[in-house]
Amino acid sequence: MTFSRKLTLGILLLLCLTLSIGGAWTIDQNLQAALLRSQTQNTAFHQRERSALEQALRADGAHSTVTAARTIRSYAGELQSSVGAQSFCFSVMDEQGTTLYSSLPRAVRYETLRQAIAGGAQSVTFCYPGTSRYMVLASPLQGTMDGLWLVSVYDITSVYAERDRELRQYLLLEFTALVLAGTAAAWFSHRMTRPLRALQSAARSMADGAYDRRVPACGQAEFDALGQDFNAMAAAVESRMDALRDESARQSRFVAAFTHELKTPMTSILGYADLLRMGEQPPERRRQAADYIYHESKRLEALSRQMLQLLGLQQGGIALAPVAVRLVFGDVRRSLPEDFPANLCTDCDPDAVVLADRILLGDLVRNLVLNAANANPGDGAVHLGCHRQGDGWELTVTDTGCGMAARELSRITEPFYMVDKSRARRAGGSGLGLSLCAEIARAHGSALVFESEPGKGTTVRLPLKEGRE
Amino acid sequence: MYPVLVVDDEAPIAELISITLSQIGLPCVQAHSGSQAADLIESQRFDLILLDVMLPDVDGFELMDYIRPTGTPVIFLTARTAVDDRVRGLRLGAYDYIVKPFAAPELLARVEGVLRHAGRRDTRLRAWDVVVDPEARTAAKNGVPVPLTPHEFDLLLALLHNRGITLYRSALLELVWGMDADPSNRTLDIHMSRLRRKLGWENHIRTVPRIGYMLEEEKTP
Amino acid sequence: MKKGILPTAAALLVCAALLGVPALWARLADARRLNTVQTRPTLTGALDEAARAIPVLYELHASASESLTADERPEQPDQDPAVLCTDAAGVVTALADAGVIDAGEQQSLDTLLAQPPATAACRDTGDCRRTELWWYPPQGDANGISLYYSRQNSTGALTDLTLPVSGSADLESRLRAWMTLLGLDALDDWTPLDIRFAADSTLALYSAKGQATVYGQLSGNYLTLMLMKDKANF
Repeated sequence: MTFSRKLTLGILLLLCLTLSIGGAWTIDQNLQAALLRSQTQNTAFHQRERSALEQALRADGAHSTVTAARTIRSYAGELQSSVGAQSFCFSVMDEQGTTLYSSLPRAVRYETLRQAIAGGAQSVTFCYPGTSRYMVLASPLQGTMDGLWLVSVYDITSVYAERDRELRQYLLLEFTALVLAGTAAAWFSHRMTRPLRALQSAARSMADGAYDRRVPACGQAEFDALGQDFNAMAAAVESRMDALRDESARQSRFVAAFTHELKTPMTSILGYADLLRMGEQPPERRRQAADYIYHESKRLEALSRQMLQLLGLQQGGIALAPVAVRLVFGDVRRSLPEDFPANLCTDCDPDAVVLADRILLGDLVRNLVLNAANANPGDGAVHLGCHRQGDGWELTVTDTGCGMAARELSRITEPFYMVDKSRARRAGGSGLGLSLCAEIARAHGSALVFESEPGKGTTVRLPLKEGRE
Repeated sequence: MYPVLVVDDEAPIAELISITLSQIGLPCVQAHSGSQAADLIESQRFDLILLDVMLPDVDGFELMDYIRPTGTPVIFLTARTAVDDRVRGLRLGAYDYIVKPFAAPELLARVEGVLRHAGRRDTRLRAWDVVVDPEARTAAKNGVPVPLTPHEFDLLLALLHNRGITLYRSALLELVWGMDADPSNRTLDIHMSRLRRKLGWENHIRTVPRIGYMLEEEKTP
Repeated sequence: MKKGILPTAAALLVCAALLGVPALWARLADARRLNTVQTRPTLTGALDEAARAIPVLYELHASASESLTADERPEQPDQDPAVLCTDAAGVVTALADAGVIDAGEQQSLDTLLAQPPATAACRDTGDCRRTELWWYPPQGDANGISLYYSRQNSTGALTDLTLPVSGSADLESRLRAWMTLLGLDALDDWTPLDIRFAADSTLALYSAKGQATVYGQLSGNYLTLMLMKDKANF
């Protein structure tokens, strides 16, 4: 059941309970008070009647039942003429049960009177024949004759009738109150829970994929706090989804590029191999086919080697140790191919010692140097440097070659991205070189910084930590 | 009778395609970049264009805008296997799609199919007095149809596709009978002798001992 | 929706049932109340039943409403002094028996009554017969000796008396003895009343149940005992 409905029903039940019990108790209390008033009044009446009768009997000096009865009858007659027949209902009996006089309604039974007498002069008894209610008071008459009892019967039906009328009225009142309260509570709780429903619908649409849904503020403190938290969560989820999507897209691009890089040499290898095994090809064609097969295979081999290295770097950390930078530069110089097209100029601070992996750092520098050489520097030189920067050192590789445009700079470390494909192919590149360099830099806790101007040249910077203890 | 333009930035692949097509008498022109290709398209007419999708400077798909006005049929070459790319290519007006890596027979079949479909070429092969229609799979000598079994016809096609080249026995067996053929089978020799007899090419189909068979090239006068 | 209908319907049913609670409560209370015997509320200023049983008190209150005064009565009792003295002697005897006066006092009173009084009067007022006797003062005394009492006609109870006494019995014991004689000791709520300007020995008790006050005074050798209706103001 919805919260708002629970709220409504809860309020309704509580109200109903309170009204019912409260009403029942109140009405009963009212009846009790009315009865008490009636009792007091009737007791007073009864006393008066008793005194009057006693006086009448004394005045007449009645001694026997007969004379007493006569006196009482004449007294009753006087009473009737003066105040009317309906006001006084009484009966006079003796202790044996003989009725001397009675003006009681027929409905009142004889047993009731006997019971009243048995109850004594301090008691009030009731009798309720049919729908009427009577209060019965019995007291001994003192005087000339002993053993006479006056039994007065008072009609209290109206008191009960009044109470019944009250009950009916109250029922109507309670019903109306419940209907009104129920309607008001339903409407109110519906309105109050509107923010919750807004939240619910936002959560649902988020679950369906609309990560940009947010909940507006509604002006009530508790809900606003909840709404803000929800919005924060939604924003976090959205950015997470975006990040995942980007990641997924990046991976797709990687796979596509890798597949392409793989399939292209395969096509050549397969094609030329197929050609060779078909039939006797002319010698020139044979030589060319073997040449292509060899070179494309080398290309595949370089690709797989670099891929493995890249994956290895991505997965595991490397152990860093203090390394003298000039030694690394020496390694690089020695490892350059014989047909290296440019002049390598080094400018290294002799004290430079960094925290690094000598081999990996050497690979990185070598790669950058080769790239710089392939950029056709105008002065035919590639400048390699290492200088103090802050607490650590900075390695630089500078060339005065063709440079790169800004939008290319942001993409050059992407796997398989090549600015000039044809040139890179000729040099045997796969497009992974700079990705590897970027990973090596990351493994050293640093990052490559590229500065380039088309036509002027490129500078690559790598900050490294001080390696001395 | 215009040449075929092969556009691929990978030189080995362009060369391979060129070799394969010239075997069936289709002269090829190679372009190694989009801009080079665009220049050639503007200056020359071609019967067919084989276009690599992933070119370094220009997207292969973009090049279609240049090509479409000329009405030249195009076959895309790509390493991508995504369906979207294929559909996109075909929608842009390419006739067909070849996925790398491809085998030579597949390439030949596609090219022949497109050329025939576009009505550009008479794809029938001619050698001396014999005319062979690869599509209809008929051969006629001096206009008279020569009845050939399917295997004989395939053998004939293989020879015609590789004129002047000695084809290895194992290669012939694989081409005609499939991968599971037994190389010591005499079937090949029998079929070859039957073919010779039917076409009257006893002197044109040369047996190279221990190696294979060759169909001689016609000497150009 | 289905899931929510059952509890809602149940809740509404409970509400409907609760609507009938006042009526049900009323019926049950009625049944209980109408079958029990209840006690009558006490009326302020009304005579308790126990008090009613005491004849003197009943008569005291009942006769108050009687309209006939002494002047309207056609007959007056016998004024013969001898008869009155005889009557008074009986009263004295009764008082002595009750312990209100001791034997010595009884003796002196009887002696007094043997002499003829200077004045003797007896009147009926309401339900009471008042008798007053007066003797000339003895030698050296300024005042005479008087004897006064009032009796209820219907019960014969001595509701008012003034006697010359000489004994040593204290007022309270005399008062208590007289109350016992009248039967007033049946009531248990006689509480002393405050008397301002009390001269000599005075005592007054009031009973709410009997709606009556008893008053006693012992001064100048005279004992006065009175029974009055309601609460007397002093």
